[in-house]
Amino acid sequence: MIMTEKAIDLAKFRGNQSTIFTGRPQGRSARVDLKLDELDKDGDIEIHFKVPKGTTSFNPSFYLGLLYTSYKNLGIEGFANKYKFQIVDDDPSIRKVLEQNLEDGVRNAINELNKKTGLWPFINK
Amino acid sequence: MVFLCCCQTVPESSSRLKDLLPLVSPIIVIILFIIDRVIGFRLRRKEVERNWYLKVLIEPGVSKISDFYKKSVEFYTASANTLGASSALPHANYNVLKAQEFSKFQSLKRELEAEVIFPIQMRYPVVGQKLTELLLDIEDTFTSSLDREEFSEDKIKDFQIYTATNRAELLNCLYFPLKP
Repeated sequence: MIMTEKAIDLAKFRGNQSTIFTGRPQGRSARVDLKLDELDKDGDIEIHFKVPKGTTSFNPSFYLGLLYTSYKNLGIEGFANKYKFQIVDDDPSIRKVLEQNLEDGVRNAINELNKKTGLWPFINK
Repeated sequence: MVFLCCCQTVPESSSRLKDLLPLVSPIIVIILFIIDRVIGFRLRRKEVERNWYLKVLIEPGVSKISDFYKKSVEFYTASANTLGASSALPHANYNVLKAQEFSKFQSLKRELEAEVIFPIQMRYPVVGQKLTELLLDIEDTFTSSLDREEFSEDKIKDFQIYTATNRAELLNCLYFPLKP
């Protein structure tokens, strides 16, 4: 299936004078603004989030607020196929920090998701 | 005929009851014994789990938690001093330095997550989730405060107070699985 790519620049959600993406409520608010609930349902669109130049941290709290619901809606694999990140900054040390931040976000989202799957009650018996 | 039947039935059932009466007290004793065994088994199982939680998850974790909070304040102080002294750097270089300072703290946070939080989360997912949220809160405070250039002694003190509160909440969360 051919998917349409849609690029979303996250710059406006970084806050005034700020160089970081932080806070679950801020992530949730960005999610509403970007209408991600509707985009989750559209199987023909692949989303590419652009992390703008000048970003020094992309905290997992913001990642979870922005995307945790999409993990719930699409599952881990479905999410990975639909949502991609592109770090605009080309400085290698900043890229490394941001890539680790995004990995933290993915790990936290998967852990939180696993807690809510039906397996836990059986494992914890 | 009816009268006869009644006369015969009443004495028969009352004699059966009389036969069963001596059995009532041993049956009650057996039931009480079974209840006692079930309660005892459950209490022992809870005690085993409680001991396991303390020995395997909490005891090795407590010193790591204390270390984490102590180092968080040290890192904040060091980062505030480094960034405060580097304000003359070109903007792009300053951002690289800032990201590196954040990264030092984030590595520390990852260590605590891997060594303490994840093992707890495997067995107690709700507690693990709450602990993770507290860690994410401290990460947000660390990065936001430095991003706002809160480098003064007072702001460092504020961060220290914040970490103390966060630590108290985290320790309180660890007690949840021990609650009766």
